[in-house]
Amino acid sequence: MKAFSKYQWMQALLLLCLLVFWFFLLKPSGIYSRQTFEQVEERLVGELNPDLYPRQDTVKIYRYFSVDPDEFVQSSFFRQDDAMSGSELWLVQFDTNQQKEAFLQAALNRSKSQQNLYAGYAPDQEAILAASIIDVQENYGLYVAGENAAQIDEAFLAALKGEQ
Amino acid sequence: MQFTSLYFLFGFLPLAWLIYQPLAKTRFANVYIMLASFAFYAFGSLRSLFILLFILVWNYISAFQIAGDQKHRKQSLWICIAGNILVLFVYRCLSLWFPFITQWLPKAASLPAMMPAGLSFYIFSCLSYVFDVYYQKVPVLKSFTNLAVYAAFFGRVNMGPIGNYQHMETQLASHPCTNRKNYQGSQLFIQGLFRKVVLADGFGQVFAALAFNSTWLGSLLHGFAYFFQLYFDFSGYSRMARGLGFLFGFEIPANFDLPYTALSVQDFWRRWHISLTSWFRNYVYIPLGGNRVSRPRWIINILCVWLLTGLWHGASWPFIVWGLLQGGLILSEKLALKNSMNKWPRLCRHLWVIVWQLIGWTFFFSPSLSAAFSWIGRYFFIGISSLADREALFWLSGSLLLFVMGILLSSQLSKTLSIHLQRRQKRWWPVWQCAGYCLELLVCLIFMVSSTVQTFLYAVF
Repeated sequence: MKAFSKYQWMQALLLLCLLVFWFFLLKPSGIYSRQTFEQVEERLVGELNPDLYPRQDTVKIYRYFSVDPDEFVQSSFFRQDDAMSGSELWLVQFDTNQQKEAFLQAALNRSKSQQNLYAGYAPDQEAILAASIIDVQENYGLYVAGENAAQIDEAFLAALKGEQ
Repeated sequence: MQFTSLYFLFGFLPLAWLIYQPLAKTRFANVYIMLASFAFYAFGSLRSLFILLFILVWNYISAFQIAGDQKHRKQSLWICIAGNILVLFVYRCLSLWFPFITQWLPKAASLPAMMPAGLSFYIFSCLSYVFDVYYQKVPVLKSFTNLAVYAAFFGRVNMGPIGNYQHMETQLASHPCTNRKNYQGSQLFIQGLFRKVVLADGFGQVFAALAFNSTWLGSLLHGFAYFFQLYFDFSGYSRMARGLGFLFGFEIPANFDLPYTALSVQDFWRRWHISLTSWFRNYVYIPLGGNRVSRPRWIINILCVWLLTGLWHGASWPFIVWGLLQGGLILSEKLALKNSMNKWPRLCRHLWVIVWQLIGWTFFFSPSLSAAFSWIGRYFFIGISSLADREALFWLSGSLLLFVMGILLSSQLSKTLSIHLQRRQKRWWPVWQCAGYCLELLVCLIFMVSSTVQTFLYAVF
């Protein structure tokens, strides 16, 4: 068999680089859940205190987070109408990186602006906001602020994995 | 970065142009354009830049391989084509044609959304170079910079026009900037901006507003809104790309020549997306034998070219049917209507093109074949809820001026009017022209600042 020319070697090397690039591009960096949005949401709602986290219309997402809820595959939002309460939860399902980044940015902005809002006159709520959790997985994202945020996040991860 | 973004208009473009002026006559001119183009592309995504670099280096090396190994030239050409097609296939077709792959690679489902902007445009530009080397029309490029400038120049990397290497070869060696080119380039850029920001996006609003209207008038307005939106969007971009080319010394050929004034479908495709139809003619149709083969083979050649044109636009059934429809229409004009069509009144020939293109574009914007057929049915009173409703009448009256402008600018009338005015106002013409362009730019900026600008339609290809 005729030996490869230097250009053929270069082509082979290039293809290898491309494959490595695609491997890292497609390698899941978090949990990719096959659970439906309703399944994940149902599991989470089971963990929530309905008095602290009543369901809100998705239109409120636009008001509180300055993003269009239709931008995502699905989303739901839970919080009290009481402005003195910092507890809130935003669950999002997405299918592109742009949506993922939009969610992350909106959640970060919200957490920061809420902390600034409560700073000085509601230190307990400020502390809740400081301990808020933004958990972004492959196709779902959760923003939760509340006393049991860590517990809700655990339930979120379990829901994504389909665990009961 | 889009041409219609304020960052581009007031940041990247003036900066890139001003820095280029002292470099234009030096040997660093092309290096600078290459680096500016990579920076422009990286602004969108670094991952996309990796793919662009891969395609450039792959074709650069492949051309050496083709030219160097005379015995296995054909084999080397096929390997080169396979590398390019592999990239297109992975981003465009993999998850659509083989959905089971997402079982193992869930992220593969979002590959179409991750597709680098203008991928098929710069792959086709690179392939033009490789084919020209294969057919020994041009020598192999020693300079990687020149290949990068040819295929990835920021003016056309996102949406073409697709490059023809043979035509660009001499310009790559020398592309001086002159006052004439700067003037012409600015004119073309403003014309394109106006077509996109005012006309295409205006039609886009009508199209979006009537998406769920099932009356005859609403469906027809919806279809015609897309008919004009697509034209002004893509021809607007092409003008802007040509304008940018002129500003950096390149003369990029026109990509549109008043396609809606065509008198046959064949004529339409000589005027619409000229760079793509020329590419398929030069590198697929002619190598397949063109029309110098038996009649059945020639029919297969035509259908094959149009099937590929459909696939180039998308890997779904509506695009495939759209491509085959265009091929079928061209065949019917050449075989069945050959003599009779020339005797038709001009208006009938014109209507023939308009109606078929309206039907064609309906496949283009429809997510599925069934949706396309329902829309087309409604144009012909099949499945309509009523003749018109309040919503359709509202949009008809609200967009009447837009449609009149659309018809004027897509016909010979605007050209005739311009020549007439130029003759009558010889002395004041330059002043009128300058004032007109300033006004156009001002209107575009008002539209852009008010954030009504939408993304370019052809950017997804």
